[in-house]
Amino acid sequence: MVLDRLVPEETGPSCRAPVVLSKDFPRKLFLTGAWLTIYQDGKPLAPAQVEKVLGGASLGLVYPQRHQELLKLSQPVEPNLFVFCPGAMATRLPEGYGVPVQSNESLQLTVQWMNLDPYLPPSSLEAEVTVQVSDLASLRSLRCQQAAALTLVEGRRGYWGVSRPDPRIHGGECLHSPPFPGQSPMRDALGQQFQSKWYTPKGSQENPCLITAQLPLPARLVAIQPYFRSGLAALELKDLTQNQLLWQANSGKGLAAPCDLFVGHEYQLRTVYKNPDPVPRAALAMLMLYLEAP
Amino acid sequence: MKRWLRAAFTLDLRSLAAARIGAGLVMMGDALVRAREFRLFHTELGILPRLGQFEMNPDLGFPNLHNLSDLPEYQGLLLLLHAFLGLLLALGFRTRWTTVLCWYSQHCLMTSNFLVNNGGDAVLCCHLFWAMFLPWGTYASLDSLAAPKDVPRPTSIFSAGSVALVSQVLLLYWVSVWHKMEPTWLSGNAVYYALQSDLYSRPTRSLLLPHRSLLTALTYLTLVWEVVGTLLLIAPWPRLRWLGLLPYSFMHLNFGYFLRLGIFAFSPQLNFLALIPSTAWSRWPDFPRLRRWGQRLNQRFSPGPLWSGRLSLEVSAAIGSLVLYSYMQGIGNKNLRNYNNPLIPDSLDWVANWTGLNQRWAVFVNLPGLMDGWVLVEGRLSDGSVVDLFQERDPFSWAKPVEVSEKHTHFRWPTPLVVISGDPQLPGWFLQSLVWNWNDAHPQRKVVSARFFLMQEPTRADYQDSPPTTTLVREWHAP
Repeated sequence: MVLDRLVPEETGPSCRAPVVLSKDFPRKLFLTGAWLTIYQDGKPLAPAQVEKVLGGASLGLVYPQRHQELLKLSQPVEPNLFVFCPGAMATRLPEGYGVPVQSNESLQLTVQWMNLDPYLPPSSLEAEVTVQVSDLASLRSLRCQQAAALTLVEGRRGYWGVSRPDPRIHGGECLHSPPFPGQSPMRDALGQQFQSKWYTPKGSQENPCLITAQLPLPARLVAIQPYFRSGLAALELKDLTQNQLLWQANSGKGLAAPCDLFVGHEYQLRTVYKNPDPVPRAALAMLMLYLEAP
Repeated sequence: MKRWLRAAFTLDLRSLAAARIGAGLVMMGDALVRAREFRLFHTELGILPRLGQFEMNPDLGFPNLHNLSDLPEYQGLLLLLHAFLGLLLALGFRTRWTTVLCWYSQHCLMTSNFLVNNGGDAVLCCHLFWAMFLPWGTYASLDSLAAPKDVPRPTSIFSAGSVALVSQVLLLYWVSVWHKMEPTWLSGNAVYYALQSDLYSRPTRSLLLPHRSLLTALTYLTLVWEVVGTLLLIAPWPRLRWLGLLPYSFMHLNFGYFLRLGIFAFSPQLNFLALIPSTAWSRWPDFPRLRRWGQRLNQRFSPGPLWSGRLSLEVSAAIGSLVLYSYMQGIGNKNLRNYNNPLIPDSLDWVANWTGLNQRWAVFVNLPGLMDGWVLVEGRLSDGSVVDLFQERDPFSWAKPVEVSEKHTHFRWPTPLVVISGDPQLPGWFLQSLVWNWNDAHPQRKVVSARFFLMQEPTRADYQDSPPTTTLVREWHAP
């Protein structure tokens, strides 16, 4: 991709490239990690520079339904396997775990670019994904599940699918925001409309979002990879029922140990963005959860 | 050189007898196997009724007995006659005329429904055609049993007929190599693609498929062998000839082991039987009891004297011209998309149509471009249930049949399926014939509507997965 003009967040061009895991006879493999490197004119970029050009990236399945058939999975699967954003460019799953794939499956890397630097000279950008694989049959299978922070676009209360929310049980309600341009809203069973992107005004803004409905409970949470935009001040996953902080972004470490997610518990994704500029900034927060069936 | 050439094109008459018996057995076996899909392949209720045959192939002009009627009784009689002629050929009864009738019957059968032809049919037809000019009833035949014992019989023959038959073997493989001069073969991927082809490959492919380098080696080995090995087939030294015959025979049997090719695994063996060197028959057994039985039988049918195989100059010249024609046809037909042969004028196309000497030996070429996948025919029945009219899966399932080729009721299905799915007219007959077939077998559960789906799963390089795509080819609704 050649960037030669200002490209705001969320509107940048995106590129897709196929990723071939193996050219040998198909066999079951486990993906145990992946990391993304960005090159500008052939040289790797420092993290501070990556923030200026990379919107986000993901490594995913081209045909999720086919993946389900090949691995004989009973539940539908998420297309994305790994997500990358400035500040979270690598995922390494804990030892002994992996995401199973068939070695000949069609995978693709999707990268969205941006350019917030008006002085950036026209430059050629490349993204390279490195995938760590293992064919050890003893590895334990993980499934990927996305859980995103939402904002209420249309409706009464910012709780997805909860008809009688109780702040003591369900926590605070999510942000109310105007429709985000270019994104189609999601509708819950009560007819309320939500979106996963919003604009943060100048200053600090918190978005506590109930994500219980997005989780396939019960499950054992083994690893988390966050996906966010610049300006993130806090990102936390909480078990509201037990009033326990399960995970926190930028805390310097991932999950201390696999933890169980229970049926009947309520889970909240709390996001805090800080915007020093007077111009509103696009925001989103998503967790790629790596779950093991209990 | 002259001696070498003569030795190369001389055939042992006992080897020819073995080839004759083989040809008869192949004909009988083929008739038996064809009977399994007799209704769909050979009658008015089938995938290509007689009127469709005229419409699809109007220029053929060959006087074909099968085209007189497509009543099941008549077609069944002809198929029975085909098997009976095969029996007579194997027994060697009035061999010369039986051979002529066998060739005619084989050619008629092939032209009566060109959709279901297989490369093996064409090999058999060519073999029978050239055998009409060879005395292959001199040994191991009822004719020979009737002949007086004290009359010396030649053990080998060198004639225009033997030159033609040997040339046919060379032509088969050299033209095949000529057609294989295309990217799939030259890049070493042909065996990989052939084994990945769902329409043809058998479950045994799993023995070879994981070994990518072996597949590449086999591809190149096939190319080299079809050039060099063919020369060994005509080597004047017996041991060297065996070195060509045995691997070739093994190669064709292997084709049949890994791919569901039916007759193609067997009919080329007739050529190898005919080429067996004389040393193999140093002890030709004499069966006195059989001889007496044959003589008694022959007294009733008076077969006449054995034919020496001598041909007049005119006939030899005609055979020579046909051999030349065959080579020009084989070489000039390389462009598969263009049926115009630059080496042969259109006005001479009738020669191939009438003799059955179609030398288009493009076996497994341009494989990535061929249809790969399977066919589903969803039939909605009067009782509300849904079944697969083609695979006869009850209830209907979208799942891929495993293995696809083994689920076909006949090894001849892949070719018609490929042709039918790419033709605007044929899917209609195909659907209609399946509906009739089902309704006759299940009168309580008649088909109300049917949909013909093509599930394409093209093979991609380097084992990369390709999810199937569904194409609705044709719909049918009960009137």
